[in-house]
Amino acid sequence: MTQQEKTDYKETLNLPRTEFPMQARLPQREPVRFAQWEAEGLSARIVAQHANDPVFCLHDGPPYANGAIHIGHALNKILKDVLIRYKAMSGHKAYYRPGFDCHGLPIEQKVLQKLGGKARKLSPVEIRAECRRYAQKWVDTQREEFKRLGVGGDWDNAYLTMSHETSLGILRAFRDLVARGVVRRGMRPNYWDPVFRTVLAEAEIEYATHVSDSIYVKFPLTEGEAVAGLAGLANVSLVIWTTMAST
Amino acid sequence: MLRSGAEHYVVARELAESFRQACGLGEAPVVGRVNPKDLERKTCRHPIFDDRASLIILGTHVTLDAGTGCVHTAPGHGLDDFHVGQQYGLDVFVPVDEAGQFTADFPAMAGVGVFDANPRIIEMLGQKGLLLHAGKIEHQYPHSWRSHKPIIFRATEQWFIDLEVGRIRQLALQAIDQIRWIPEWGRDRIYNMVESRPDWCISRQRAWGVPIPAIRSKATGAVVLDVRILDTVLEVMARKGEDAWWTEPLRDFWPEGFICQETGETSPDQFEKLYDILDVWFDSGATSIAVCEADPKLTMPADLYLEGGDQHRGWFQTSLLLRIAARGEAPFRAAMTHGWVLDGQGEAMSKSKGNVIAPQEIVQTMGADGLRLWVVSEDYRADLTISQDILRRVADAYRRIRNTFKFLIGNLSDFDPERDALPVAELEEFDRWIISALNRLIEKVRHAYERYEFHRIYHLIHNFCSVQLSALYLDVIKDRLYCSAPGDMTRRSAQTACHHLLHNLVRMVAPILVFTADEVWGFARLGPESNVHLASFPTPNESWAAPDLEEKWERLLELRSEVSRVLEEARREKRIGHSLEAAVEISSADEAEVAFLRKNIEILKDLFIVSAVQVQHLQTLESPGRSVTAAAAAGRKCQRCWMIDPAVGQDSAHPGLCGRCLDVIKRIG
Repeated sequence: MTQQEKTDYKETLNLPRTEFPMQARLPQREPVRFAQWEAEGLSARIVAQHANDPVFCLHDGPPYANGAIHIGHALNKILKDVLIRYKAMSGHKAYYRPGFDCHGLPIEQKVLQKLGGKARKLSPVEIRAECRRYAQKWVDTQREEFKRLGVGGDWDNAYLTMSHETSLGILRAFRDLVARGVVRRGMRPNYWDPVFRTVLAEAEIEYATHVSDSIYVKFPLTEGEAVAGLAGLANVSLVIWTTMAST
Repeated sequence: MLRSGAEHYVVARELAESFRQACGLGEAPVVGRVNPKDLERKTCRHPIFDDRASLIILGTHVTLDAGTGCVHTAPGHGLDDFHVGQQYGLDVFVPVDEAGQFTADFPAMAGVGVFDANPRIIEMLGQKGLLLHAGKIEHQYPHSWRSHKPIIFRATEQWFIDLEVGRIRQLALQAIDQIRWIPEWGRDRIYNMVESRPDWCISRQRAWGVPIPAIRSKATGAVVLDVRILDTVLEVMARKGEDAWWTEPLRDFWPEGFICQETGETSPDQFEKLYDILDVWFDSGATSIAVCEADPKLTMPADLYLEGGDQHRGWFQTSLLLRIAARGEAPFRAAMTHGWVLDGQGEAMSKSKGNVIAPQEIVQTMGADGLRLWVVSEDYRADLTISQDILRRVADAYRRIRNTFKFLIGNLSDFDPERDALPVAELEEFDRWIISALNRLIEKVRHAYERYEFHRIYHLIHNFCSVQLSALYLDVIKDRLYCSAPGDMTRRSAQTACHHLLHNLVRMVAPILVFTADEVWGFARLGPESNVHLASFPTPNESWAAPDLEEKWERLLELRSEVSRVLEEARREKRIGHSLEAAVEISSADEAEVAFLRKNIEILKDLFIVSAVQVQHLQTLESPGRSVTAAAAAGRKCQRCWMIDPAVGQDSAHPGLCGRCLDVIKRIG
């Protein structure tokens, strides 16, 4: 048996033939494919394909636009994308419009920190412009990062809470609440940040270890108060315990 | 009541002992009992302000896990204090300014920060002989999430959404019970939060947000928020943008003929604009109105909100309250939450611990599909874990799946489904069996997708590719695929099965492996859709199910495992090399089994991937009633298919070939 004969037989076998690479090279090739999808308007085509199917609407909770995405963001958007793609493939009109949360203290604080002493000379409108630039930068970053995860959707039409349209919509919602009489003015103890001199939401509170005083204080009962069980006793005090002497 | 020297102290009975110890009162005896009811509305001397008396009030918010059962109440500086203070009509006294410093209302401490004042106040109390004990305690105290400094409680004028007006809280609680919560415990979590939460404070004293266009009468100080003004503000902003509230004079927002209901004033000059903005949670909470109602492509209520498990307190709640308040309905029919991502040890990730794994890094090494596969490999309903080890396992799984695709694509290069596919009912039995297993897989995967149990999909697909395909089916059919004549019916049968496997598997993983699936779709020309994401999800096909075959093949596969063990042993003992060099002999005492195996003898050789199988009936065999032996097969190795066959060498033109290969060579010329 010669080598020649062996080779001949090999050629008579129907061995697998494909250019499909075992080396996926995903980091290099995925962005190219995604760009292709975008050029073809794939997300819109998927929705159009299912135009007559039942609607499945997932409304996107907007991530806060003040940093690069972390693994939690990735998890959230990937779960949404898996779900929406399944819904589309299984016969739903599943339009997905991502959003970004752009207003608020964290961004304003960051901007004020960056501006440093200059901030005090700026008007609210100028500070707002800085905040807008800052938020827009992170919106653009996060959008690209989410796309890089293969997340489909109407990215060109993503909603920004700071956009003119959406801000007006938010104010319109507020107007409706005022009209319904559910908005009231009131005094209230709130979580108060003495550094930033502002009320904080419950969601803006984090608990951390703090060393406080622990004091027991006498509140002497006013002379002449007649209390059953205390008749005839002098020097009666209620004793309170507190960790905050000042209040 | 305890006596210590000439003093009498009233504390809660349950805390008397810890009080004695803390204050070093030795054996101070209990000398009487006081019913708290008898103390209600009596007064004490205020320890700081000599001109004030402190009213004794009763509240249920004081607990017995520390202290004395008595607390000092400052309605301006604590929420519980505020609520109980309201019941007793206490003044809201706020002697603290925006910077957390005491005002002139507390002359002795004016200008001193609250935290700095503590030691000085304690000193004052000591001088007045009112301090029984002063120590330190380490506890969890609320801090600002931005400044990371301890916060204080301080009463200020704010805007609220009143949850009782319009029965918002009640309606929200009712709505919560109509919503599907995934996982189910979400219902209790948000229900309890909404039930007990205070009114929502929606104003902030900042610049970066949506303005609250309220005005204040210069003369009376009355603060006015009026729908008519809001309407003109909306009109002006539509033209000039949101900054207009800051840049334009109040007269530009003044409705024609506006008369302030509260003050009777009619001129914008009598008022000033206020510049509070809306809480950022109001923004996102309002998107059901601001975004969804304005976009015909979105519907309200939405089918689903899907966020992290902390959003019962955040977005789910604000969205729900806001839409209930504005529209009287919930914004979503179902709310689904996922857990936190922890490191391999189950620890939270933080920069300081250095255990942060960034998605950007994963994408650079494993691609987005790798990261996406990790996401579905974990049960998101609980916390998820990620580490380099976990990612390596996911990468292995990815390669397994990719390899399966590559094998299937490679073996379909000469297969045109239109021309070559056989009806499933006419396939070889083993092929019908795998199609039946595929059908079951489709059912299970669909079910898991429908229930959002993505981790089950991962396990189902991975298991199918590695156990049923790679280690069994694809291995067994190689001989038919490679060695038969290209158009041989048994080969077309295997290819038909491969085609169905590929066409269905790729669509089942498409929502997860978005890039890889589309790559496969293109290579395999599976169309007619130009993109896998335009294709439909596989549906189970009743005609594919073959429960009778599944039972039979379960028996054969059990036997296969036994044969594999025997072959492995023979390999270890160097009696054979490749399994194709073996002849297997199965002896059984069970006549029915012998008959069953003999009937399927043709399948067995393929199934075991050996060159010969013999089955014999052996009455004498003891329990377990079956024995399997392997020996070197008789004959020479076919140079084409590597099977050992006595026929090799019999043909003079092709002395290296077995009978089957000889036949194939003659057919393909």
